[in-house]
Amino acid sequence: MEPGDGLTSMAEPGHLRIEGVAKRFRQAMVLDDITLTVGRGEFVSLLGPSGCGKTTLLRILAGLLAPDQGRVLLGGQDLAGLAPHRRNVGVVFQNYALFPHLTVAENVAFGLRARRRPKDSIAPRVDELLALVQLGHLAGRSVAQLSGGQQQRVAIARALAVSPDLVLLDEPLSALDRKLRETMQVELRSLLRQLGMTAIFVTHDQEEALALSDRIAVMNAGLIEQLATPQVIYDRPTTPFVLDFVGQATVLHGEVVEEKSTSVTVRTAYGVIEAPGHMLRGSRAMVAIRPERIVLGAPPTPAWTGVSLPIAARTFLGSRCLLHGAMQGQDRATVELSADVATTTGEAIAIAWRTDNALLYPAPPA
Amino acid sequence: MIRILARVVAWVMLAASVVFLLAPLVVTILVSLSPSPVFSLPTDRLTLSWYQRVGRLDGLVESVVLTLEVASVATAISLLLGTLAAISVARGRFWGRETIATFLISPLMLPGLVLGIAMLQYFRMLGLRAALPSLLLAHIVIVLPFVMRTLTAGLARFDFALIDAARTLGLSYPRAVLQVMVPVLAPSFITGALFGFLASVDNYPVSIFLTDVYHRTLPIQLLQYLGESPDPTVAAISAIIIGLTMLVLIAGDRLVGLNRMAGV
Amino acid sequence: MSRFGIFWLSVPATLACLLLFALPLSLLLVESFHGRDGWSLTGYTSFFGSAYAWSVVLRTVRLATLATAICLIVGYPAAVALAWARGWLQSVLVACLLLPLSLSVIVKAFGWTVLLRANGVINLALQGMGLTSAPIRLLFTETGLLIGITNIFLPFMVLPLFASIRQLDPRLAEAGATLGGGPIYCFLRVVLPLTMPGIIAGGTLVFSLSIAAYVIPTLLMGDAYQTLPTTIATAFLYLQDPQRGSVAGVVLLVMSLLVVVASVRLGRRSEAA
Repeated sequence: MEPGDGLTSMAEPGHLRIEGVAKRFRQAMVLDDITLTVGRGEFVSLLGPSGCGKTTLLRILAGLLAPDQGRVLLGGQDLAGLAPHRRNVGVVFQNYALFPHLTVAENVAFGLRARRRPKDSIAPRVDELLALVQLGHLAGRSVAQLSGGQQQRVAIARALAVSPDLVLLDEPLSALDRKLRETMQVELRSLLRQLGMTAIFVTHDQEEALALSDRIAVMNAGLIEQLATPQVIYDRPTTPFVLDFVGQATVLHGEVVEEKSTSVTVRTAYGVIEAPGHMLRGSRAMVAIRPERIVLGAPPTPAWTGVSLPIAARTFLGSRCLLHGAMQGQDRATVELSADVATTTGEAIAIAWRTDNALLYPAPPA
Repeated sequence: MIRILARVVAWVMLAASVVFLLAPLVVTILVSLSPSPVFSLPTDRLTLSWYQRVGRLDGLVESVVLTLEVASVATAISLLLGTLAAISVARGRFWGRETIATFLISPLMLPGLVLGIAMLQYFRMLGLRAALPSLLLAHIVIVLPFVMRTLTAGLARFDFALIDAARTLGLSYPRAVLQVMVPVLAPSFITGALFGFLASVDNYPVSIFLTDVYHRTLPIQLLQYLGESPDPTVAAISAIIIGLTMLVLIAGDRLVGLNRMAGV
Repeated sequence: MSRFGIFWLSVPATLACLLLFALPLSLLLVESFHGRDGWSLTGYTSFFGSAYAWSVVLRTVRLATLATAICLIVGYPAAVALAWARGWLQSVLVACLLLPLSLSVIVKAFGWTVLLRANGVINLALQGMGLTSAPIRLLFTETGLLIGITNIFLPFMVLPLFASIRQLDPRLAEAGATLGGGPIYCFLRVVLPLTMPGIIAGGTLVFSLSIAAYVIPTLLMGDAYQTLPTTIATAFLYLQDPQRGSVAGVVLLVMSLLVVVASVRLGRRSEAA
């Protein structure tokens, strides 16, 4: 099936379907019942700490590992038992895995030759791909002579040359320095969008996932904790793990002292606050607020709530600044303010936020 | 001051080392061209007459053929055994793989003479008295460590993600090994085989115990010529060996690069 | 292939080595305890009871120690300079090390017999420079032998040293200098410890090759002068005294193994430091 085949894409809302995939190594459960559907042309990130199973899932999609349970469908075809070279899946490896004995052009041509494409069609395709990643002038170079960013582009060109139905990217930017990584993020995203490529992107860098993805699957201990758009992942993390892994937050622990119709009242070490949602009176709760949702001062209206915190340190970020609370136990505080606001470390300050911007979770066992 | 002194000392030592190392080679070549039958340096004219006598030496051709035969077969067998073992040690996760690696490389560090007498007694005990099979078996032990050492080092540096990459790009596992792993590891194969082969060709202390009157390897034959008739014919043979060794190294340089051969 | 299944690939080579050198060496060990009338330690008691045998062992160790020391003293600065060399010059210099290393020992030994003769090149040069009036006897002397051994094994010292010096980050020495160390201090505290693996590798190679050297002493010293390896060969080839030869063989083997074990230990310690 060719990627340009419009009929199948219309008939197939879930271009890639991962259904109940599980994998264990010896006794350890690495992937535990993963289900995920990705539409054609969608860019989905698998985000999680090392050991969460994201790379294992990627290798299963590539066919380099077989799942113990579950199945993977690509364009309606069950990939079970299909060797990597029989799947039309392109992979960009973490350290690029460029063939050191071949030139840049030969690396890009590798997949075309392996698929025995007609000889006279290979050279133009290689030129096209190298032009796409702006490496046309380096075609004859040995890959060892390239910089990290250039190697990265060769790896992408090599994976895309065969017009795969799906591209898998395994932390492809992690070896680059920060500046280059940001440039490459933009380039990679626009390149894949331009080609209408379906992509699965593995990363442990939450900023990268937020910047690039249509949707993010936050993974932890072999499970998908939350699957949503970057905006929802950031604003409405469904579990404390997602909250913790993506972005920063002020987190206060306390006891639910009153249940209301749409909110609860929680007594924390820094004051009594309102939080949206339901929890039983007497249970331990955890309330979280993103740093930029917080303002200085007392709650201006009843729709707001607030506490008073001692400030330990201030980080200057240019136009903004971060205040870090001097907290005890599991509590922590990060407040983002305009850099003009004058504060003195060591002093207590009053902060407030809209109650419905706060997040309520049952407190995890200490 | 000290820095300049250190620089001077280092370069002087390097230059002295090179002169020192090449001196016996240069002298051998000069003597082989000298008309004088006692080993002296040529004074006014050069001659190739000693080279003409090389072909007439008793037993030389036979010993060269035997030496090359033994070295080629031993190298071929070592490449096969060594490749399998190196993959096993580099990729396996079983207990004792480091011990196996050390064991297979250890003959390099053992005194050749002791290996020779041990094999002599062992083969006699087994009733194996024929020179050719004894030499072949013994030379596997001489060549295998070289192959094993360079291949394990090569495999340790080999990025197995390359095979994954080739598979996702459309090659089956066997073809990925053949088209990616073999060419990337070729320098290790060539270097190991080359030095193993040279070690076999040059071996004296093991071979001396396993040869008989009809089966003399080249080094043993050479020492015998030196004992019997010390004239510049031996220098001529030596000069030819120097030339051939240079050719082997040039070939190695073309295929692999000298730095990689030197293990640096 | 499973991670354990891959184990079987090492079996042919391991089996070959077990049968072709581990078993023969074990038999040699057994043989050394086997006297004319069954089991006995007489081989060892007579070997270690003999002042001559001791002198041979000490001589062998002394020669190897001296050769290793000379190779290190000459080889270290040479390896440093080799690491400074660039481009074609470095290639040519590496080739100058590889050619003698790859070349037959007998050819090199032959070259030295010519060089060391009373009317040989070295004596002619010394006389020409007026350093000596009468020719110095070099062939069949320990000095001559030491020159020969050093010559043959010097590349085995320089190449590992070159490899480890080349890996040094030049910024390290600069960092040492910015921290206020003089060049000697930097060398002793930064460069030397970091190149210790190369020193250990080269030293081990040269020492163990030197104690096992057979061709060179035979050619440069003749039969009258014995080292441990020539003793072994004599016992087997001329005296037909396998027990004596086996004992000497075991002694040499144990010495080699001790060197290897010591180098592994030293290597670990220098890595830990």
